[in-house]
Amino acid sequence: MSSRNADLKTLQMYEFMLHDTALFLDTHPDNAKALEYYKKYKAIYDEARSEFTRKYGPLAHRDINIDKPDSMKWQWIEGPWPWEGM
Amino acid sequence: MRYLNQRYNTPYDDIKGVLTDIGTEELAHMEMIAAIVYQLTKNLTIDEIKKSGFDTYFVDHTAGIYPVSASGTPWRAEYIQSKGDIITDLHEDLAAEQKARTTYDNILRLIDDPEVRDPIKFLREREIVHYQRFGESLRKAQEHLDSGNFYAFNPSFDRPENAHRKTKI
Repeated sequence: MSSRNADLKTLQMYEFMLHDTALFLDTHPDNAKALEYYKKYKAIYDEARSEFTRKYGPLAHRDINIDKPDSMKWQWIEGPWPWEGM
Repeated sequence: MRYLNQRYNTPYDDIKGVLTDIGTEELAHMEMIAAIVYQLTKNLTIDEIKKSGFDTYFVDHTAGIYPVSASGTPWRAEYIQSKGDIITDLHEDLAAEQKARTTYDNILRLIDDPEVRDPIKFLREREIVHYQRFGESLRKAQEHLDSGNFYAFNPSFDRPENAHRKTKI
């Protein structure tokens, strides 16, 4: 597995944790433990996502890094797309 | 699509959240299935197409991705419902999750390729989680309607004193 794929898998893991916890919170909105868990992994996810997109480029067009010198380039359309494999 | 349409007429915030978040997740599942089909069919030879039973699909769509059931019926909107009644809609959703789970079980009975099995196993697990969340939603909806009434409908909806509620059950 390339380091990009390994890093992407880690990021997807955090994203999935957030999503599944969100579903739980939808039906258990008063569960303080779940809310703490969500906040903890939201911070870790945000950090991991900005690190990933700085290193490998955007996962969504909103990930454009406006501080980077090559931000004038529209990186969003550069393949491979997820279904094209590595 | 079913859940994302139903959420507009859902009277309770927690269930709006469930329908929004599961609906969004299901769109991602559609991407996964489409990617699997794309990767399985992109390099087929004409000989493989003839031998594998993919020939009928090939005539209609080449290797294009098109939503069609395993037995050949194209996806249609009649497969899903949005009834504007939270009890009815949640029963529809619980059934949908179990139907998907059964279909994944049948795929797992037929397929050996681990690169197909692993994502299908993941999707199967998600349907089980969704069923759980919809079950909790149904319990909450019934409690909202009338905590003393555990029948699976809302008998107060059509009473004259509740006319001001309009479609908000």
